[in-house]
Amino acid sequence: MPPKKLNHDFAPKKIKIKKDSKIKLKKKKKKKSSTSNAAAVNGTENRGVDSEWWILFWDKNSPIPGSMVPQDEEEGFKYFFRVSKKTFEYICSLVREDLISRPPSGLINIEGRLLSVEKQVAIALRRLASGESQVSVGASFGVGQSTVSQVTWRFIEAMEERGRHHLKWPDHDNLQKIKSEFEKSFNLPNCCGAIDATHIVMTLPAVQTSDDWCDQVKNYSMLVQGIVDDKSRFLDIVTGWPGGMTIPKLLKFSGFYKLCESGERLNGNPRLLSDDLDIREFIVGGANYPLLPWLITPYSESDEMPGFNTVHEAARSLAVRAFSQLKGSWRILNKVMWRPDKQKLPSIIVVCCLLHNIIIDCGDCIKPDVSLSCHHDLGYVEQWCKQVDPVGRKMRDNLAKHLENNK
Amino acid sequence: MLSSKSSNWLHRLRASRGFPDSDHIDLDHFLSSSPHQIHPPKTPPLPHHHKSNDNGSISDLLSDLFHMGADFQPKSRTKKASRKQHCSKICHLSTNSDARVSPSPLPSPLPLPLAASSNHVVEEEDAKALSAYSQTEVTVIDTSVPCWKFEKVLYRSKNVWKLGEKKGKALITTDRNKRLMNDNLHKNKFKKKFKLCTNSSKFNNQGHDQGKMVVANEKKRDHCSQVREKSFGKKQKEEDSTPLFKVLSKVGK
Repeated sequence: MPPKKLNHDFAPKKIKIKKDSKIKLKKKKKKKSSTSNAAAVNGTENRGVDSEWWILFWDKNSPIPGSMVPQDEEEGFKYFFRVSKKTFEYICSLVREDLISRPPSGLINIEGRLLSVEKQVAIALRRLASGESQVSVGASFGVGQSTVSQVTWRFIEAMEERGRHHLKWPDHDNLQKIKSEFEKSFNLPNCCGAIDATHIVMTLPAVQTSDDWCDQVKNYSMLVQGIVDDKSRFLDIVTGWPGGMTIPKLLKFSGFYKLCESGERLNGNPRLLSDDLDIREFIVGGANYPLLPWLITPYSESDEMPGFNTVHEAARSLAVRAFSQLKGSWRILNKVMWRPDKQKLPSIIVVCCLLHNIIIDCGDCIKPDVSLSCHHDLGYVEQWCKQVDPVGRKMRDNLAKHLENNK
Repeated sequence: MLSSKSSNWLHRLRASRGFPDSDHIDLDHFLSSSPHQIHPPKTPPLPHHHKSNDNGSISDLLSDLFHMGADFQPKSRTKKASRKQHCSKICHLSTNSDARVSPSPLPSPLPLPLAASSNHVVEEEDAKALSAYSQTEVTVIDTSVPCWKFEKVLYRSKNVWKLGEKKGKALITTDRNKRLMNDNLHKNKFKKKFKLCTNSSKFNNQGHDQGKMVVANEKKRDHCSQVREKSFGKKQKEEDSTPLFKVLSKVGK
């Protein structure tokens, strides 16, 4: 079905008609009515759900032979914005109060009309999803680079504030569900999640103050650490630390570590298994993490218990998958950012994580071709952490025995 | 009796110092003829002398501690060379009243700066320890921390990382908050203008200038009306617009 041309000239025409109808009225009356009508039109346009932008966008960016863009409109929407139209509406409802354009701070397009919330959200999502330049994103929406910059940042600020409930450590009931899923899938009792970290690469000016952001492969980068559940949904995020920091240090600086060490997290009842083994709540992490009572890492090749590492890696891959999906869906994180504001970058990262969770929470599926085809932290070699806690070692042995006994 | 006694001691003094024992000596002649015979006594510094002249002693003290400028002439000194200081000294103010500076006119290592420097050394050691570290300000988002976002100073020396609090740390004020504040400010400004506008309607017959002001406000109101419309609803808008309209109509007349 060819898209209808409901262009932006519609509203101004409407105003003109109204104005013309008032010609015969007295001067003062006309003055009043034209003002209020203009406001009313703007108000309706600004408050109501705007679908015009998509018709225009789809018309402008419709699939051409040989392009990656799906022919189906719904699929095309997901291709450009990573979310279904339903989820898009939900996101708009979250940020509507913050993004609704109000003069004088309200953003306007070239024609001088206020940008609708829908169009603002679409611009921001497209910028995050594609990672394309602001100029390029602006061109696809008929707005300037500056508008893309402002709209994206306003969206990020609003989401950071309004979407927090989509990223929090689960309550008792939800944690039980997660644990039971881990046990069902991997036969790991009391496992609450998987942890991993990745680098967000950027360019920085070649000055001494940038040195701390230089990582082991001589990139300037920022670290993100995430703990995910059985659906690869983020439960905990830490970001903002320089890429040069080691993973054990990153963990140690995190609030999650402090809470676990003080017994305020992963403090549920231990599981007493049939073979008299005691398993406390824990998460799984890669070899670059320290082995702790609540963080189980794989065995080294020399002392591996048969089969344990395979199961462990399968569980841990949930976190690896989450980061591949994250960087694949929100390509801004996978591209080398050009001199980003290091104060703002953590917000961008967290909002991408929030969007990742919202997609899962709203029942949208992330298509396999959206995820990165390679590892999320390509070029970075996992450095084996030699830190081993004796209680952690005992825990890992118990888990290995449990897996061995329940083959 | 008294005069004889006084002459006696004077004679004795003159004799001991090699002065001629006469009441009518030609001092100029004496000095020019036999300077080598004069041995003025090396009087030790008298503390009470300085106590008696506090202003002099303070100025001496200050001149010991600081370069007082070329014009400064201490009253209690005659030997300028001895007071010259080779380099300026740090003045440590002490609240301890006993910690007086030596009144000696001779420049000597003063105990006060040395005593105070013990703390200074500690600070320098800290500074030295930190100077080995590079310093980076970081903004971190950690969802396990209730406030999510915080700022820290990160000290790094190779693989050693230390955390510090950001000096003069203020709440992170986001652009969003600023915008909200601006919006509120704008609303308030409009309210004020609106009050002015409605008040002026009472005195609308005061002349042409008054009318101009009202019209100017009305022009601005076109810009602001949408703010009010969105924030207070249609009813309120209609109520608000009525007096303005009246004002306009009166001005038009």
